[in-house]
Amino acid sequence: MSADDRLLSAWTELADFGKRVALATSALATVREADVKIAESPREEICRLGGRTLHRIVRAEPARIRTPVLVTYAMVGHWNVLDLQEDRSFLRNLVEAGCEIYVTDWGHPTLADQFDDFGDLINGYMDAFVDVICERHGLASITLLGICQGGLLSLCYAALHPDKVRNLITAVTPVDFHADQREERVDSGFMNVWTRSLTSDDIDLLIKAMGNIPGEVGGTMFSLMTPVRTLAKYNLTLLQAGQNADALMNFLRMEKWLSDRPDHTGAAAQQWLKELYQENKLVRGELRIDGRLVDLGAVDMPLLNIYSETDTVIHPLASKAMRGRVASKDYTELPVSGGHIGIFVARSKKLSNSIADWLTKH
Amino acid sequence: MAKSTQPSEPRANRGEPGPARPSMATPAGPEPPPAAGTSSPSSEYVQQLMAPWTAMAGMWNAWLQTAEVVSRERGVESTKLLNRLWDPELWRAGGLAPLLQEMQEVFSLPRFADLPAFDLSAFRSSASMLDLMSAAQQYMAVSIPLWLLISRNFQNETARLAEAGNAVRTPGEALDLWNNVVDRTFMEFNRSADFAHLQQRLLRALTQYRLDMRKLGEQSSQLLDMPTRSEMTEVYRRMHGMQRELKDLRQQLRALRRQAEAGNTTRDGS
Repeated sequence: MSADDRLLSAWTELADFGKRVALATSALATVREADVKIAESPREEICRLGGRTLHRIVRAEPARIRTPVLVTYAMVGHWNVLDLQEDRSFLRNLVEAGCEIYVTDWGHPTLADQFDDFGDLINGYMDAFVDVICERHGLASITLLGICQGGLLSLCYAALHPDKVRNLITAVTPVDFHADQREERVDSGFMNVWTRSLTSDDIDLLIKAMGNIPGEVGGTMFSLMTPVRTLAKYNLTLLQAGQNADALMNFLRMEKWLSDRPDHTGAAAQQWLKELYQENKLVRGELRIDGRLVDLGAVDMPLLNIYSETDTVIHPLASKAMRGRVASKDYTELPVSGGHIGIFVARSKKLSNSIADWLTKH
Repeated sequence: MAKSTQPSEPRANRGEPGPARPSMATPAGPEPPPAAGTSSPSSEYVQQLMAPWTAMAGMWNAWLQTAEVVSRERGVESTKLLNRLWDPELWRAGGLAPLLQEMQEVFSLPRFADLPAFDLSAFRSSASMLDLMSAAQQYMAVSIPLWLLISRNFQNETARLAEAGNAVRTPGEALDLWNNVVDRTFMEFNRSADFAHLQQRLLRALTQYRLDMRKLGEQSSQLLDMPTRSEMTEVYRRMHGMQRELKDLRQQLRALRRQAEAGNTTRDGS
């Protein structure tokens, strides 16, 4: 390619870029905040304890899979990412695949909730929700589906109340918080590295100063994982999305979810960061909740463990560490491709169908 | 001078331990009746002339001794602390807030019921803000060489691609490559010990600043008869404890009801 050709090519690209910017700007100009809606699948409120709510995703016909599923998401993000939009809804897909779906909504903790620890989350709210679901369906036990931190809470619940858990499904769930050290990757496990670089006193000071861990802290951590991609999304990605109305709305829905980061209750964050990220107490068999030891050996129900090899937040080895540590004779691993959040907001129904298939057999 | 000439009683020469204090009272006490033949008009005149000077000397001596005590008790430590202000390490390492705390301890006095307390808390919040700014500046200082490294990495990557026959041809390709290089370099740096140390400093400075500001805010809240954050935290703590207790009691009640129902069923059955 001659110098003239290169110049012409660059000039054409620049003109095209200008046109794309104009198109994206005009598309953005037509959208208002109220137009960006998420979590629109019909749902009903079943139970409310303080700021925590149990929702049921409404379904028209009886569920094909009899045992209801309680989905628990992390406290660091809002559950509604699981129902981002009609054609990208993990929960809706599960309902369509024949499941009866309930969701734990941790709400937006305030300073009044700062002393809620894992004991409150697991033995208080989760246990109460499980009891309500059992009572509604006349069952002694249900299926738990926990995602990320919600997976850890579900796992601990299953260890402490095994008689109430018929099946356990964990997705992108950390179990061994030091597993990333066995296979260091520049694009994964940043939270583990960062938390280990702090002292126990630093975390205490942070909680003392803040009460709860503000959602913005979590947001900053995620931004630091891929700093330029985080910034580039407001020029390159938005520019790309702005060429198409549907793509733009997808982008804006995800932004809406990202901007709504609930605070993490202080006492639970102290356990999460110190006892798990720093001291790795769960796999060492030293984690105590309300004074009771969390014995993974008590987790003997069928278990489906879902992880992603390309997860940048939870190192796949941290999830795969479940194998051999629980007593489940029926243990299945399901590797999926996609990012930590991406696997739940994908258009593909592969993940929800795989879960429904597994549940059908159990 | 009127006082010095008519004090109520002499304070010197009372056999008190300690250095002789030629106090203002010595020459001016109620003068004993002059012994016959021991006083003359000239000596009285000299005594009167000397009295103010002796009084002044006594006062200066007292102040000298006070200065010595202050110097011994507070001066050495405060000089050491003030000298530390010139140490660049203090400003780099976020030690200003602890230094002010030490200063407050060095200069502290017993608490007086009707006098305002000596309080440096307002300075402490400024110090923690300076610490925070210092940490932020250090972060900036570290990030400048990082951009040089990014530029070098970008040049190396461009050269490597050109050698491999995949030279960057369009501005779009160049931008993609640049973004990838920046991202990767930052990701590597964000996992380094340098970054961890900086983050830790920044976090400590931020939290300390917040805590110091809270103290100031609490003082204002008290002035306005409003609940302070510490008081509210204590309320939340008690509320949380009561909620837990309530939950336990409900569980116990449910268990008792179940037992009672089971007992009734057994009796009915029998």
